[in-house]
Amino acid sequence: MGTFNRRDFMKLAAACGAVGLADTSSLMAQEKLLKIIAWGGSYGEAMRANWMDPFAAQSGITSEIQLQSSSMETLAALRANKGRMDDDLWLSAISPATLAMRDGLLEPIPVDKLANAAHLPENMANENFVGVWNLPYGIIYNSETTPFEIREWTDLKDERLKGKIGAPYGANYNGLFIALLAALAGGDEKNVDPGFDLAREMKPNFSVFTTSDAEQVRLMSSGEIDVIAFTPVSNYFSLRKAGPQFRFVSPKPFIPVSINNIVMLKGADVEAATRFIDFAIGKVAQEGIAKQLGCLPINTQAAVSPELREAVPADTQFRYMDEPTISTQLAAWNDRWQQEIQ
Amino acid sequence: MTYSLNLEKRGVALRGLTVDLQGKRILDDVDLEIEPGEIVALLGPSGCGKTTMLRAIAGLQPPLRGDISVGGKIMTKVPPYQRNVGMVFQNYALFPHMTVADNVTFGLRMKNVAAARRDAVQTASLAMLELTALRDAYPARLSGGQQQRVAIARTIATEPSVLLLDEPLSALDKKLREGMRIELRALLKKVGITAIIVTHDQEEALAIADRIAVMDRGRIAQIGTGAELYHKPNSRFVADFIGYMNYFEGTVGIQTGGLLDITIAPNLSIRAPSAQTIREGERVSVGVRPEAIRLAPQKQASVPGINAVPAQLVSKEFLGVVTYLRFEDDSGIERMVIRSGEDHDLAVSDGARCWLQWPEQASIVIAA
Amino acid sequence: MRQRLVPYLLVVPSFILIVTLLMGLSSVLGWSLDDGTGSGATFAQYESLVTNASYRRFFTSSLWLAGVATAVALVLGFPAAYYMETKASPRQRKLIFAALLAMFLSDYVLKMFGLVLILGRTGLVNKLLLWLGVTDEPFRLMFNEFGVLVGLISGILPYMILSLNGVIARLDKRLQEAAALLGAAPWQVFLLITVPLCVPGILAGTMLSFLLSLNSFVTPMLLGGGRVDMIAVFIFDQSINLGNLPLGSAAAGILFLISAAAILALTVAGDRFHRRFQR
Repeated sequence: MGTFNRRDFMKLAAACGAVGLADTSSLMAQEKLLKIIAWGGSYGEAMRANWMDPFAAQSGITSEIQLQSSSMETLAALRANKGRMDDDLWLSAISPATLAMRDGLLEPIPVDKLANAAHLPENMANENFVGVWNLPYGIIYNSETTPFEIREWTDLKDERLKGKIGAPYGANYNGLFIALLAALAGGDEKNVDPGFDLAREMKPNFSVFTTSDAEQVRLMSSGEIDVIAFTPVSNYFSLRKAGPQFRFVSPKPFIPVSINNIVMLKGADVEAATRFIDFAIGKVAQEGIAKQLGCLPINTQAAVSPELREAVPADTQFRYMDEPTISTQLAAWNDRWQQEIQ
Repeated sequence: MTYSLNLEKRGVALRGLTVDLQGKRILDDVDLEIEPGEIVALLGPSGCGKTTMLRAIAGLQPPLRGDISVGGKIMTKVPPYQRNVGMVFQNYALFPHMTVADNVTFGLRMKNVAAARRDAVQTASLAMLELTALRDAYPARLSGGQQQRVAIARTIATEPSVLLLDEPLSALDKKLREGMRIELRALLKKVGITAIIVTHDQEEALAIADRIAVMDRGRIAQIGTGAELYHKPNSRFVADFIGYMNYFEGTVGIQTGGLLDITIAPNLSIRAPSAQTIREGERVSVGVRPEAIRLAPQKQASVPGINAVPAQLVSKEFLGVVTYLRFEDDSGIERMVIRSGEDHDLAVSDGARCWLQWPEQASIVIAA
Repeated sequence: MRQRLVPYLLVVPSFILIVTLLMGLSSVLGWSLDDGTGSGATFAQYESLVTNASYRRFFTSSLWLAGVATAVALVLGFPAAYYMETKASPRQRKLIFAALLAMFLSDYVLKMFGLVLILGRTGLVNKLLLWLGVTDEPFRLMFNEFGVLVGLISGILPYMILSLNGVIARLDKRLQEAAALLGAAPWQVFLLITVPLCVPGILAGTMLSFLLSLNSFVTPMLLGGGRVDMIAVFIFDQSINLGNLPLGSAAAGILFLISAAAILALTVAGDRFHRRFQR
């Protein structure tokens, strides 16, 4: 091999770069690829099976998931990389989506182009977000080690449960547990003091504070705790695989429902992304994904699966929390929870 | 603030001392008796067990069998820190994180000596070893000689019954080493302590010790004063270890008037004082020190009391005070003669054939 | 030409890595000063960390836990390292070394999960205690400070031991013998000779252990059960769960300063100790 000087190297590098650029631009012209930030695991599987694969078959637009472990984490990443991410869609909760909108990180959704928006409950399809499913929250307990049958949220105060309960860490689950306690004790999203008083009564029963779904499932199945104070019903479907002793309760008087939604990120391929959203909220896609995830479909025309009906009976009262209001107080609630309850 | 060392001189006795290290016998059934106040050197090549013996006396090496007593008291099972045996290590083992003064008083602090007395000892021993100016220095800053003095001061300050020195001069350069020999002996005698010193250097042993124990493969080959070892070695090992020796191999013949007749070549025999257990017909070596030999141009037949052997001069090496003359005898064996000053024997010229002559009484019979 | 370029080329990857890390660090610093408008800078986040007692608790609690864990690791690690270097047969030494290496190579999260299996309500220890009849209610061995301490200590112990056995191996045994012959009982030899001479290793091990414990995230996450306050958890919670990047960044900044101060203090202490008796 002869001598290879710096100028040759530069030429070669420039040539390589040019080829590379030409290559990617031609690829982009050929096919559309939607990048969706979403949770992995069962969520990812359900999305692929009910949304992404059938959508690609129907429209020719392929999509891929960029993994997130929590939507707040994605919010932090979006803020940190302002405008430098090339993702199109983001599966989120209401609070982070609201915060992201405030920070100007979102692209307005053309709601008038969503044919299926008509079958969604009021205000579940707007230019900020479109709801994709409802997650009902309740209590899971181990019927073999819990001394009585849990029916109501206030059963969590029962002194027979001393040291047996796992509760959310800080304002986890987007502050829904704290908001629920406030509502149960006669307060609301703007007056949470009664909720904290109620939590203090439960405090001797809390032995661990969990930060994720996976942690809740792990602590229950390993026998570390006997009750999860607040958990999405999807955790119940995971736990049921571990044994029949785990029971889900939709406690009286009402249960909070959290809406997961999809939002469009700044710089998204609006046309393709809109088509994807419309597909995702369609009746068929909704029934499929709700059944697989164990959540309530958001499309009012979609049927509820029998498995979910068993966990969340038809007479269950739902309460939609004021998530945008909660999101502005999340930090303060988190501090207070850590200080007073943990 | 008067202070004097308060040493009780104690003797040391080893009885049947046997030490194994990793399955190897290092000391083999050693007996040794050391008088109070005596300086004894353990001399031998590396691996002969001399350092192990020192460590056994100090209590750092438990023996397999045998007993060690100091001042008549059996010490074999007493741990090192209760033995009151002082040791100066080969590398001095000064505590690097303590000043000279703190090194010197370490032992006194361990023995809970009152502060006033401690200060007195410190001042006195620093003065005695000329270390006063260095009292606040750390060991790393000291020269080898200074380190050695600190090590000795530190050990003596605790007034040990016995002082053990492991190759005390080996860390010094050659010039300093020769000067320190005399100084060390003078110091030990001034303190009046019983001392055992380990060395592989025969000159060092001769210069410092009252008696020398020559060690060979875990045993004491011979113990005695320097003169005894030099003039009456009981083995070739001892004879070779101190000074040079010419050997004549031969067969023992008749014995007359306390002298053995030994045939070393056909028609050539020499005579030597008889040692007790030599029998007729036995093979022996006869040793002759190089400075005992004089030269003669012809064999002076039948001069009484003189041995004579022919040889040829190979080389002459002038070293100032002495001159080394190397001869070869008829069977090609080297013979060394040392003559001093302006001796007329030095007139012999290279290649000349002459007779090596020495008094019969200067011949040493050593069992072959 | 090519030959002379080689050393520079070899430096490139680490250079890129360092620059990237510095960029990350500086952007953390940037966020911590963010006043929300995107243009001005403010120390408000730092102020709230210092003045808010519940935030301060994360720092004091972390420092306390890291201190205790380091002290315990030193007390446990020293005899282990000492045994390994002075008493163990070559075979035993190899075995211990292999065990330490295995602890290094195994994933930290996995190790902590292992502890969960041991310390849990239905874990090994409690099963044993119940079986022995020592207790009829399982003990709370984790989701408290005890559990976190056990996790921290088991995490740092190999670092401590490996920092110590270097200096112990280099110890001149004759210094201990000399001290014994000067009348020092074994415990005096240990305190006055062995320990001071091991100071460099003790400082290195302490520094490493303290910083690892102070910055620990996985241990309080898995073994603290949300009941033990440590800074890394706070930073994660604020920046990720609550989206409060400026406050999380400021906490990271303070943690960085505390770590730097600890390094500085221990380095100065080590230097002082050394300069006294080494050329």
